[in-house]
Parts: sequence; C-alpha cells; structure tokens
Amino acid sequence: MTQLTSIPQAIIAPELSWVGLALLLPLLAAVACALCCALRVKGKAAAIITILALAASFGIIVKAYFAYTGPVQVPIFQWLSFQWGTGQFQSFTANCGMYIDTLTLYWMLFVTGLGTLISIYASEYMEGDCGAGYSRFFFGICIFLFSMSALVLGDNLIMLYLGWEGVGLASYLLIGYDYARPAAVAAGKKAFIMNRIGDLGLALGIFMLWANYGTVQYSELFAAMNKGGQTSVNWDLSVIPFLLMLGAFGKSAQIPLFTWLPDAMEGPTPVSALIHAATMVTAGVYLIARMYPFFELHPEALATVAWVGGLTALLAATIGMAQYDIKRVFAYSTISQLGYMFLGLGVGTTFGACYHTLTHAFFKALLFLTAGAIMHGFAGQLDLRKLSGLRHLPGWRIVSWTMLVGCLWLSAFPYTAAFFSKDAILLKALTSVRADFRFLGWLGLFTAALTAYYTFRVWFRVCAGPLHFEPGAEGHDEPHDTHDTHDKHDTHGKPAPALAAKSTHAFHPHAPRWAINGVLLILAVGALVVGIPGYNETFAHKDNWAQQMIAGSSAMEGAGLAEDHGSQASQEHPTVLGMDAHTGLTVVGCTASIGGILVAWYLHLRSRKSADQLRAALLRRWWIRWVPICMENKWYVDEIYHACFRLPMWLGAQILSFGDRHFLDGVMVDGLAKLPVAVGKVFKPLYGGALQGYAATMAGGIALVVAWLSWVWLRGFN
Amino acid sequence: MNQELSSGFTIAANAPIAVALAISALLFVIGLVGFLCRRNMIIMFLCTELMFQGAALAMIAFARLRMDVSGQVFVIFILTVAAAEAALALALVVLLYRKRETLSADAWSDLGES
Amino acid sequence: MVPTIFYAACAIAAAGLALLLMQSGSKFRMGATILGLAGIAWILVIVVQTIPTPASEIGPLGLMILCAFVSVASAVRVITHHRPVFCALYFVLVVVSGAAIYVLLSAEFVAFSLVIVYAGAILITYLFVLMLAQQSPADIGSADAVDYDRIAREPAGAVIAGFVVIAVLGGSVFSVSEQKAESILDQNRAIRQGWGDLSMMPKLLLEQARRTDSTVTAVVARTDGQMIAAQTDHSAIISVQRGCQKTPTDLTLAPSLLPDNTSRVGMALVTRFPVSLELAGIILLMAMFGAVVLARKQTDIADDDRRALAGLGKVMDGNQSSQGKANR
Repeated sequence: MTQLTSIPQAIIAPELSWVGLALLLPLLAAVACALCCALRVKGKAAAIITILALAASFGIIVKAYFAYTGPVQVPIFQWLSFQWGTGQFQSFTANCGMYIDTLTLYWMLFVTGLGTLISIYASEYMEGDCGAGYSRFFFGICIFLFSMSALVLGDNLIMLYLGWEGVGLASYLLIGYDYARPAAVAAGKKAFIMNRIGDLGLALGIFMLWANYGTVQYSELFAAMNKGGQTSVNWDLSVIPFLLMLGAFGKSAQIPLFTWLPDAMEGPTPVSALIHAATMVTAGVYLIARMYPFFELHPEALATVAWVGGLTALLAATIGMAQYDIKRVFAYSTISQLGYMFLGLGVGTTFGACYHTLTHAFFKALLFLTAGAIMHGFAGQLDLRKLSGLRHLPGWRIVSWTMLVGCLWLSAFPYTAAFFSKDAILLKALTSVRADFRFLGWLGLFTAALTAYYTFRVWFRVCAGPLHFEPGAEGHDEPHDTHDTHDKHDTHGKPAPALAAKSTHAFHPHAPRWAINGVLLILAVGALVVGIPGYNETFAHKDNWAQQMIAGSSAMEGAGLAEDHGSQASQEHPTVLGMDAHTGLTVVGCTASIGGILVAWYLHLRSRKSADQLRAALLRRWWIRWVPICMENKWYVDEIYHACFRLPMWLGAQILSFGDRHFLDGVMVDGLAKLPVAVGKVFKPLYGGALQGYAATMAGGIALVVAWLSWVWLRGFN
Repeated sequence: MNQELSSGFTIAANAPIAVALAISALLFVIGLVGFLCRRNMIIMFLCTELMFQGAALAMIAFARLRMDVSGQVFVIFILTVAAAEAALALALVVLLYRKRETLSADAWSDLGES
Repeated sequence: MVPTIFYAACAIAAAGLALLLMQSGSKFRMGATILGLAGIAWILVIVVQTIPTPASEIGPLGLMILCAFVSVASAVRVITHHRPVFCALYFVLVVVSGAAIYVLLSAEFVAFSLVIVYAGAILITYLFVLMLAQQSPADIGSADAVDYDRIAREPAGAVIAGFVVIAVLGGSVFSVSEQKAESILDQNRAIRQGWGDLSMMPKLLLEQARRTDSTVTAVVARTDGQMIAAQTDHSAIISVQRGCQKTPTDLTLAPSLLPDNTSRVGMALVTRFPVSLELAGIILLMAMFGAVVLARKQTDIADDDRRALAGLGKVMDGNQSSQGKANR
C-alpha cells in the first residue's frame, strides 16, 4: 500500500475574514426581502436587492481568488465549542469559520456567478407576480444562496450540515412557491422527505467521523489523514463513506433517491435552473470531493459510487427519451449527468467529476432558462408535441440559438466544453484496472449516445421544422402587440380557463426581453469560456486550470490504494478499441454524439411521422414492447416506492389511528371519563330524593359504626 | 352450643336482662324494617317510635344491670323527646296530607331525579 | 368468635318477616308466621341458654319471656298490618308489654310513665291524626286498604338492612369477653347509691328513721361528715338524735328502708340531672310553639290563584299528579 499524497495543510488566517461577507450578504438580502414581503412592496425591489447582494458576493469571491496563496482557515466567530475532558474524544468544536482552498473557490465562483445571472433572469421571469409572491421568491433565493455558501465555505462538517439542511429548506420553499397548487406542494414535500432520508446518512457519517477522529473540522481531519494513522480499515471506519454517500445520493438525486427531482420541476423555472441543475444538486458531488481522502481508503465505497452513478446515468437517459414535457426531459438529463459525475468520482478522477460539474452547471442552466423562456412566452406550454419551429418566430431567435448551444454542449459534441469533461471521466473509466469500471465506461459511452439523441429530439421538435404553436393552460391576457407592464396578471400557477379555449391564431406569444435574452447570451458565452481549460490541455498543452484547482485541494487524487495512472497507462494498456486511449476515446465519443444527433434529426425533423411509426412497431411486438412502456412510465420507480414504503406506512398509520381512536381515546380517555359517572350512579340513591333510601343508608352507616366499635375499638381495651 | 355462646350474654348476669337486651335489639330492628318498607307517612313515624321503644328498653336493662338509676332517668328524657317529636311530626304530616291529598311518601320525591 | 347459630336464627326470623311483608296470597302468611315465630323463639332460647338460671328465678324468667314474645309479635304486626289504625292499636300492645318488662326489671316509675305518656298521649295523637287523614272507603275501590298501605316498598331490601343491623348488634355482644363481663357487675355500688340518694332527702330520711325508732327527733351528720354509712350487709348507719339524749347515737336502717324506685328517679332527676331536666322542659316548650305555628289556619288558595298573586302563569295540570310542581 502506498502512502497517500499529503493534503496541503491549512494555515489560520484571520485577516481574510472579509471573505465572510460572501456569507453575510445573502443573509442580509434575505432579511431585506422578508421586509419587502412584510411591507407588501409592489415593485421589483426584492430582485434588485438580491442581484446586488449576489453580485457583491461574486465580486468578493473573485477578489479572494486573486488573493489566494494557499489553503487557509478563517475563523469568524465561536459557535459550538464544548470541552468536558482533556482526552481526544472529550471536546467538540464546530465554530463558524471558513476553510478556503482551491476547491472552495472553484465551487463558489460558479455558485455565486450563476446565482447572480439567474436572479437577473428571474427578475423578469417572475414579474407577473409583482406584489404577490415576488419578494417571497427572492427571499427563498437568498436563503438558498446563504445556505449553499455556508455549505461550501464552512470549515467543519457541522457548517456543511447546516448548509445542507438550509438548501433543502430553500428547495422546499421554492418548489412549493405556488402553494395554491397541490401538485407543487406535494412535490416540495417529496423533495424534502427524500432529502431527509439522505440527510440521515450524512448525519450518521458525521457522527462516525467524530467518533473515530474526535473532530469534525476539516483541517484536523486532513491532518489526521496525512499522518496515515487511519489507514487501517476497521468496521467503524469502513461505514463512514457509505453513510456519506447516502447523503450525497439523496441531495444529488441518484438511485435510489432520485424521484424527487423530476417532480421538483413544478417549481418556477429559475428555481429549476439554479437549484436543481447547477448548484444544490452538486452539493453531493462537493461532499464526496471534499471527503475524498476518506473514500479513497475504501475501494468498495468508490466502486459503489461508480456503479450507482453509471446505472443512474443510463436509467435516467432511457426515461428522458420518452418524456414529452421539456422540463422533465431536462430534469432526467440532470440526473443522468450527475450520474456521470459520480461515475467520475468513483473511478478515481475528481478532476473529471468537478470539471463536468462546472460545464454542466453552465449548459444545464442555459437549457432550463430557455425552457423557461418558452414557458413564459407560450403561457405555460411545454409539451414538445405542441411546439415547433420556434426559431422562425421573430423575437425568439436568441432563445433558439442559445438552446442549440446548450444542446450541443449536453450532447458532448466534439470539442465543446462538455466534450472535454465527459472525456476526462470516460477516459479514466475505460483505462481502469478494474474490469467493472471498464464496463461502466462503455455503458457511459452508450448513455452519451442516448443523451445526444434525446437532447436533439427536443431541439429538432421545438426549434426546427414548420412553425406551429399552441398556448398552454396558464394564459393571462395579452395586450395585442404590446409587451409592456402586465397589470394584474394571474401568477404562472393559476390557469385561466377561458383562454384555454381560445384558438391558436388569436394567441400571440410573449417574446422575452432584455433580462432574459441577456442572461441567455451571457450563459452561452460562459459555456464557451469554460471549455477553454480543456482546450488548453488538449491542444495547447498548457495546464488545465480546473485540474490545477482540484489537484491543489483535498479532492486531490491521492494514489491511495489503487496504482498510479499516469500517462504511462495509455501506453502500457492498449485500451480503447486497440487505439491509444485518448484518440480512441475521442473517436468513439464523437461517433456516439454525432450518431445520436443524426438519429434525432431523422426521427424528429426529417420525417416526424416515422417516430410514431417506430413506437407503434415496437409496441406491436410482444418481446420488445416492454421497453417503450417502461421508459414512458419512468420504469415504475415511483409506483414501486409507493408500494414498498408508502403503502405499509399508510397501513401502519391506519392501524395506529384505529388504535388511537378506539383504545387510547375510547377505552382509556373516555373509559376513565365514564368512571366517575359510574361511581356517581352507584351513589345516586343516596340523594335520590327517596326518604327511605336515606334511612337505609343511615342504617348501613350505623351498622358500620357499631361493627367498628365492637370489633376494633373495644378490643383495644382487653 | 353452650360452649360457643358462653361468652355472649353472660354480661347480662341473669337471664331476664339478657332477654330484655335481645328484645330491645329486635324491637329496634323491626322498627327499622318497618320504616324502610312502609309507605304511609304516619306509619313510618310510628315505626320510629318503635325504634325508640327498643332503645328505651336497652337503657332500662342496663340500668338494672348496673343498679344505676341514671338509665331510667334517661328513658324519661327519651319519652319527652319522643312526645315532642311526635307532636311536631304529626302536625307536619297533616300539612303535607293537605297538599297532596295522600299519605304516601312517594308523593314527595321531587328532589330526586325523575 | 362468630356466633353463626345466632346469625342463622336471625336469618330465619328475617326471612319470615320478609315473607310476611310481601304482598302475596294468604298461603304464605301461615308459613311465614310460623317461620318468624320459630326464629324469634330460637333467638330467645339461645339467649337464655347462655346464662345459667337457678330454679328460683324461673318464674320471673318465664314472665319475661312471655312479655317479650307479646312485644315482638305485636311489633311485627305493627309493621305488617294493612290498616293504619290497627297498626296504632298494636303499638299500644307493644307499649303495654314493654311496660310489663320494665316492671320486671325494677323500673316501676318508668313503666307507668311509659304507659301514661306513650299509650295515653302519643298514641292517642296518632289515632286522631289517622282518623283525620283516612281516605273514605269510596275512594279506594274494592280493596279494604289503600295501595300504599297494602304494598310494601322493597321488603327484601329493608329486611336485609335490618338483618345486617341486628347481626352487627348481636355480634358485638358476642364479641365481648367473659372477664370483662364480670367486671361491670357491682351490686354494692347500687346499694351505696341508694343510701346516698336517701341521704339527700332529709325529710324522707327522718321519716325512715322514725319508722325504725319512734323516739328519733333529728338526723345529724356523722363524725366523718357523711350522713349515711352503708354497710356490707346492705344496711346503713346514721347518726340520730333521740329525744332523751344529748349526744347523737347510731341507728341502723334496714335494707328494706331504701327509697323506692320513684323516689330515687325523682332524686336523680333533681340532684344529678338538673340541666337535662330544664332542657327537657324547654324542648317541650319549643314543641308547643311549633305545634301552634303549624296548626295555624292555612288559607287554601288554589294553585292558579296563588300563582296569579305571585305574577306567574297558570299551572298546566293542576295539583293532582304525584309529580306536581312544588307550590310556593
């Protein structure tokens, strides 16, 4: 067993506490938004506050990046600090502080950056709710960003857990933003509860970490890892990564806790873009990356992560191929791409996973925002069977072309940013020593082809082809030819039934304005920019910026138990189809993505009827018809969960409720209440108004007294 | 039987006193039973007089036993009280009878639950 | 010690009484009567058997048992007869037999006062009231008594209550131990008390002394300050002044000169229970006041008019129902 490469030691740098403003500003903005809410502000003040605060946070993080010299630990204030003895396991410290290394800065850059951009987008997207829920929405956004910053910036696991719970709360609040709709409320609950199941694993993992190392602070944990004293794998230690990965799977929507993410699309689209594509769902990846040294001790844990990621990617891709709601397709795409990230973490390339996180954040946010623009303009219409040829509409060009950019990136079209990041992951998988990782690599390639197919299915259906559109069910009155302020509009959640009956020709789509278009353009440019590190590495043979960032942090790929894979691997192991690893992967990857695009072009642009004919043909043959049916029904995972968990719990609840009603309430409470009544009935003749009843009682009393006198009292005199 | 009962009425030193005590108990109890089961109000009061009789007889028996005249004095007082009570009780009964035209005690159970 | 035989006898008597009280046909009456009488007889036998009786006292004992029997039988008849007047008359019999028992117990004064007061005054009052409150035969239909006289209320319950009480009373008697029984006998004290009572009645004392010795002129206190010294043979010695002597000498009074029961009762009332005597007088005064108040003429206004006087509305169903509304 080779020693772990040493994790860089953090120094304590209180002079960097101004970085804490990045934590404080979203919190203050949240308070201000809450005030706007309470004061029923009618304008967009909450949005402006949020955008300014988040832009300032982004500025601080950029400044910190440029001021970075090495990993630092910055204390802010004392929070939880107990000591009840002098031994190693007799103190507990979890103060409010920041641990800033390259991984932190890497993550915070895109979190705050995307936060700012999406807030700008949302300021126009949510304007229909001005005066109603507008401020509440931005309050949720601020809470979310505060929690996410605490999660990433915190210097101990307790702050990470605080942020973890905070993002879960913000997600619940924002998914259920339109609380008048039961579907949204149910989706919020589902997300929260599934996250809680994962949080249990995370909490137990934190407890076990403290129980084994006596500390929950990163710096001390990494120091303990560096000393190598914990390389022995005993029962206690080996459980930790499995518990932590359970938390990660819950937050990042992997098998078995993924069904909440498609339902979370009930929330407004900026929420889907920010939280459920770019930032919150990457918290699981961040957790594993941060705690990577512990995972490296246990190859089984990493193998589990890889398998779960790979299978999730495939499963989600198959489901996405059969959905008709654009946002749902993108949701399953998110799950699938997250699966790729976990696959990357599992096979050993944290660089690949984190780089893919960055690129995915950009192009997935871009795709969601374009879907939101379509929804905003077509009164809630997202069914790709009812929209077509939007790039021909004036005012929709930017949306269509930015969507094309996003789709190309998602399909890992050659030499796009996502191509480089996916490449990194699959390379590591395919050149691995372990046969099952190689299998997962090929599975990943197959999934890439599927990804390309379903992505361009959406684009060819919605943006290409003949022009046709139908409005959705959430219409609000459109002033003809004017796109001015919308007074007294319904929120996006309330349908106006009268408009649904309108014919399509009287409906005018509401093209997006500068806020939406501008953000889409910036994101498209950003997606291009994040490809530069990969481009540098491949073509200019300069250092990959992302790889440098990751390798300098605790997520470094210390060569723990596995053998070192340097560039020698590709020469020693003829891997991909007999070719050199890089070239071979490039060839196969390009084939996969372009092939998928071509199939989509044929089935959804050239002859759209052939898609339906294919589906009908599949359904006719008994030996293959289960494939499309299962795909369209999301592989019945929700139904299985309902039967396995919700149904027994409901039965148990019925039994307990019955017991509560009849036993606890009936027998114990009511029965006890009937006791005094019964006792009263026994004594009723005493005062029943019958004279002789009184006399009989008196006789009884006399008898008692005489008996006592003669048998008890008198005996005392003997 | 003698063995079993030997420590019973021997407090009564001689048989007449024992018999008198037994009779007083019986009179008291018969009066009690009559009070509990007759419904005519006047007869109910008569039964209370019967109970007085029993008590008085017990007094006299013990006065004879202990050769103390106080018991007989007390019986005189019992007589006094019984006379006063009988007069008043009968006056009240007559008034009640005038209200309900019946001597039954069941007519006066307003206080109880119907 | 549990006197089970005593309880059994009581139970039999009680059963008989219960059957008598129930309003069943005459076929039970005979059997019930026999049962009851047998029970009572057994009780008396038990009682008598516990005490050894010398032959000289059989006479008084027999009389006592006879009077006791009459008394109890009349008492049972009091409570079981269906006509109230007969109940009162049987009560008179109870009183008379009770007086006989009192005489046998040496309480002559109380016996006669019982007859005078109870049978002569109280029961006459009862009979007056019963005549006053009797319902005419036309009202009661074919039966010879009103139903509230014929039908007893819960005889079983009443008899059980009575049985419980007598079981307790009798049982308490049986629970007293023999040693204790002996200690409360004190014949001498009674004699001493009798002479003491006499000492407080100077005139009677002088009279008794003169009866013994007609030359006595005065009775003086003895040297130890007492008037009378009781002796163990139940006589007493007093200091008297005889006519022909200057110094007092002793005189022995025979036991037959003890004051009789009436005097002693009177003496006790005045000397030892003066307060009770006064209170008894006050009680009688109060009773008289009460009787006068209650006997005032009540104007019989009909319910409706009375309610109209008070400002209320009419009563719905008059005052005939047994659950009628209480009048103000």
